[in-house]
Amino acid sequence: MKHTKKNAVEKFNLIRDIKKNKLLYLFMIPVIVYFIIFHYVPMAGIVVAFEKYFPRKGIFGSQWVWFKNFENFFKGAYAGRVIKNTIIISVLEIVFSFPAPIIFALLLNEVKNAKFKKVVQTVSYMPHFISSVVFCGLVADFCSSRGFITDFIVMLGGTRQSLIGNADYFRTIYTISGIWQTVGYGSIIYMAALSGVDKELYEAAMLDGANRLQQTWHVTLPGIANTIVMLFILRMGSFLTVGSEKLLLLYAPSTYEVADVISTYVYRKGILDADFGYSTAVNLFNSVINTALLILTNKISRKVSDMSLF
Amino acid sequence: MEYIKKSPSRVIFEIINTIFLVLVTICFLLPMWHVICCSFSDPQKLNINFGAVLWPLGTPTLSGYEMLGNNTALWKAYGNTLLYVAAGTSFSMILTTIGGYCLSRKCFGLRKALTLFLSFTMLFDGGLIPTYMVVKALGFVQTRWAVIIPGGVSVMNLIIMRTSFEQVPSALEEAARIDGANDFQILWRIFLPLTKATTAVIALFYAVAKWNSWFHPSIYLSGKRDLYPLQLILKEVLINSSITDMVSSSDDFMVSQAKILIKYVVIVVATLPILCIYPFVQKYFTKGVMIGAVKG
Amino acid sequence: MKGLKKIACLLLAMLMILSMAACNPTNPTEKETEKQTEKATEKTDETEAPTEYQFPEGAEISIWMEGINYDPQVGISTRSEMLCWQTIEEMFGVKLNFIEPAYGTKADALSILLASNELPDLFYTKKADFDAHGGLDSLIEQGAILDFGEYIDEYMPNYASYLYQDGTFKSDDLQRATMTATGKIGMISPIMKTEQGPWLGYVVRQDWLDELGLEQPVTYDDWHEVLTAFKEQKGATGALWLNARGSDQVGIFGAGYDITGLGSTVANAFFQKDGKVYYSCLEEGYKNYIAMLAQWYSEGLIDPDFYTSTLIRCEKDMSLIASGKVGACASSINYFPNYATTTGVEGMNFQPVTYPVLEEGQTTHVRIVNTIICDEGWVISADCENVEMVCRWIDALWTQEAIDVLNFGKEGVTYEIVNGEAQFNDMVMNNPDGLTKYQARTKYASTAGMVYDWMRDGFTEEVLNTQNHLWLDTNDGAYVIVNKSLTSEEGDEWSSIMADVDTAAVEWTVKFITGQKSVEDDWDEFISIIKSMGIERAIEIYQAGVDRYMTLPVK
Repeated sequence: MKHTKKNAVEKFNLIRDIKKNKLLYLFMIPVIVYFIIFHYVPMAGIVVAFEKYFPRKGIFGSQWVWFKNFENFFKGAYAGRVIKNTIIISVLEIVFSFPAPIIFALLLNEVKNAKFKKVVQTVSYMPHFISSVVFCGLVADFCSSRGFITDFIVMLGGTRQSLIGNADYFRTIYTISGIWQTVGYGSIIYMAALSGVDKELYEAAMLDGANRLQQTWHVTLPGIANTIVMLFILRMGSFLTVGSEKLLLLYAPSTYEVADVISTYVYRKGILDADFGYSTAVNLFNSVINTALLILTNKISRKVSDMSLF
Repeated sequence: MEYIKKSPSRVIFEIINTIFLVLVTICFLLPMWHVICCSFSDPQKLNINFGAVLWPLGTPTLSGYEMLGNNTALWKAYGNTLLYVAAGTSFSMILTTIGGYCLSRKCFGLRKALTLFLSFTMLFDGGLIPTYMVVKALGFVQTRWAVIIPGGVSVMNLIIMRTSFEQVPSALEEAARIDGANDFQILWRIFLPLTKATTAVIALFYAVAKWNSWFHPSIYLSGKRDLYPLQLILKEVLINSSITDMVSSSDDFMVSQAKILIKYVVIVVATLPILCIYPFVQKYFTKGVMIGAVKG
Repeated sequence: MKGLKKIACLLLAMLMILSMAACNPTNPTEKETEKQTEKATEKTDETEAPTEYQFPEGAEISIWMEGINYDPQVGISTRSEMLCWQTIEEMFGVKLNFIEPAYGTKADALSILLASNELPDLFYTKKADFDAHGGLDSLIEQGAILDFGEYIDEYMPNYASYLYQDGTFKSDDLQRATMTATGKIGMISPIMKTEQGPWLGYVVRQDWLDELGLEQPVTYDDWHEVLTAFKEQKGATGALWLNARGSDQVGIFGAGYDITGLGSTVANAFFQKDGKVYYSCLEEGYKNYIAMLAQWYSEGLIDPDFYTSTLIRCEKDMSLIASGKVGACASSINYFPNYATTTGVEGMNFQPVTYPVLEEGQTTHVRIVNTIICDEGWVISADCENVEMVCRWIDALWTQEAIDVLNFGKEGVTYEIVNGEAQFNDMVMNNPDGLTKYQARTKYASTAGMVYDWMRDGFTEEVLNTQNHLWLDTNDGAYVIVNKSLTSEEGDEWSSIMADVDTAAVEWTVKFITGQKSVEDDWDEFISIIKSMGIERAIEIYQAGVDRYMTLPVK
């Protein structure tokens, strides 16, 4: 398969291909135009990472400082901390938040009672429909020193304190609340994949004497493996892009030490301090690392499972 | 499957699984219930309260809803949001489907190059301000187009679409081609019906994202209140003054007593409709998935 | 592969073209000549018709202002619904197009707007909002906004008469307060009708004090005693309310230690003694102050969640005060007299007290200084097409009639002229729809008229006494840096140093207070961190700015 593809690339002739796939090319035009206008043209803005940028002077009128912005970031007081925090939070998300919807979908799939299944499913989507502003407000409310989650912990013998403001608990709260919000919604895609698994395969496995666990292992999981791998590769591509919106709404000075990540730092620098060149530089660094990780995961995946994004 | 007797471990598993899912469901419901109860509470009592509210405080009252009912801005925003969701989702689905289809075609020579071309945008972006300038150059700023078109295509969704198209057996396509069908007909008559589930899921993804979005509208529609979607109004009601907001004169707004109540009422009003729509869409999900059956 | 390369080339070409189209700034020379011709025509106009300026038919002005903090009971969501602005539109026949980013998003919105290079005619906002963009001086230099200086003489006679003549205030003081470091006028700010004393101070629950038989607290020791009693006998779990920076709006609570607290903005922690600038965190007094707060926090006298609050003052969200968890907090004279009616809690009675001190009889030096001009105002953008018309319009706001409209609404509807002075009538003071006078006022009148009548709400003698004596007599405000003038380079450097220092200062302060770090053991580490971030350089810059301010050339 691979071999033939390679040959195809070598012989590739654009004109002949256009003639052959006229309609496909026609189809692609709007998509390509869309991406050029809304993604590639703005990308020219990345050059301000190498400037001391003043909007009024424009890209060509501002002063070029080349790698000064990057230098300032890495020499600055916060580079180490925001990179470390970003990695930790991202790893937590990949280890806990990524598999959660898969497990949830599998458990739900085992439920026989259709009504119960539907109720659980419907309820589990609800949190996703709450906008993040409201959501974070609720989290902060429940985890304050008077919140009912705190009440619960005091009941279990803990001390009364603000959980959300405590650096020791922040990441736990962040991760758990993240799962709470996305698990149901995230499972939709897996449920769809699960419903696509061939029923005959189960029957065949059953005839072979496989029990439910074995069926899950040998039939269900391979059936949705495509989806899992694809989503995983994509997740790796945004490894360093930890959602800033939620963090901005939840963190406080007392938790900066564990919660300040690259994207929140970029936001503070770029929008609030209006240091456009500097924040673009940090963002560019972020993108480069993400790209490297995406390519790496893709390569590994292609080797191990013969599946890849491109 | 009923004819196979359940093993004891299976029974235990099912019991634990059920209990677990019930607990999970309660975890999902409790905060919502809290919000709903708060929205019917006595505003005075609500101000004093901390912690969970499991039953409306004081005499249940509709005063919050009445106050909101008089607010024409809210209903207008409701209409806007519905328009944005409908138009935005249609636009997104068209591009996503044709994009996903083209990239799933093995015979398409630029397939790999174009996948790269699209994926690249997930990693690098020019950032908020350059994008804003492009949108402005197109004349979209402060018009409805700014909410409908920019950010319309998610590469992630496009790739999911592509993956699902790839799983359609090629035999079907070949058969259709022999019958003289072109790509458009193949996409419309064979691929879309066969991948109904994925298509529906992705349409829902887009719709919910549009429903919840406030950040881009707040930038592109800044100041055009007539065009505001619901979430922007919601945000206005929810966000308090921030600490960086220094005032030198003692003159600013006194926050009214009912503000907390209104907060909860608005959450309910803005969230309930999309929750109610969901079960109808869900019914559709569990039906149409037939990929496996094609083989036979 | 070939195909890919072709695409890449094509892309690059398109990128170049489009980015140039999108980002190239307007040619400066072109713009200048345009302006010159404009000026020339204006001048000829004036010689032909020296009579009163007429606003052109169908004139429109776009104004950027932060959106209103929406109050469902008031029900107004934009300024075009406000009576005072509607009246101003009618008076001058100039249509006003308000561009109002949602309340709470003005920093983001302003950043994007300035970056997008297409500006409205006017901004009306806080001066501090432009600090992140290098300040007014820097923006004038970049060509984003215009210097009013050259237009005041020409188009703004009413304003000039306030600015260049000694009236309620000395012209020199007004001019200095208005100018930038290089002597330009980037902002036209409302002038106070009369000087206002310190409107911010501490209030405590007098009803609890009376019930417990306690005196009003004077020294920190008294405060400790009172707060402990509040906590133990009244169940106040957050007896003392502090903002998330372990301070209050301007850092008054620590004033007894001869420093300021972190206040609510980066600049609050700077103070001056005999012309020399200091940064609080580096001073011994600050360490002692924080050690005291840490002790109080561990005893449960301070709101346990203080560091998660987003409020500048706790009265901005009355739920805390209504809950009875708060026994003392910083308050504005506009607010505390109304706590009982706003919360509906019977018997609640907050009374003002003097600023806390170490020893009785001590004079403190930090407070809200007497205000002569507001720190907000009009800024005119370089994209404004008809500069004369816009300047004339601003000037028209300085006529007595417009001043009254902005302060009070519409004559006969919301105010009457009594003995030559405007006064709110019952529409505001006893609103028929049941709005409080503050709600009614926000519905009909602007936040500030050009000559800002802060007395318009009708304060009682008692409240005015608080401001004019209780919060003034024991505090000379000598440490407060009223104004400084930084050049644009200085401003840039200062704000980039302070962005880091301030983050660290807040973070460490909170950790010391909550006991996550020990004041005894970890203080030196904190000091060395902010020193490594360049705090000493920031102080130097500030010093230069303060020195320069006094030497600004005035007319």
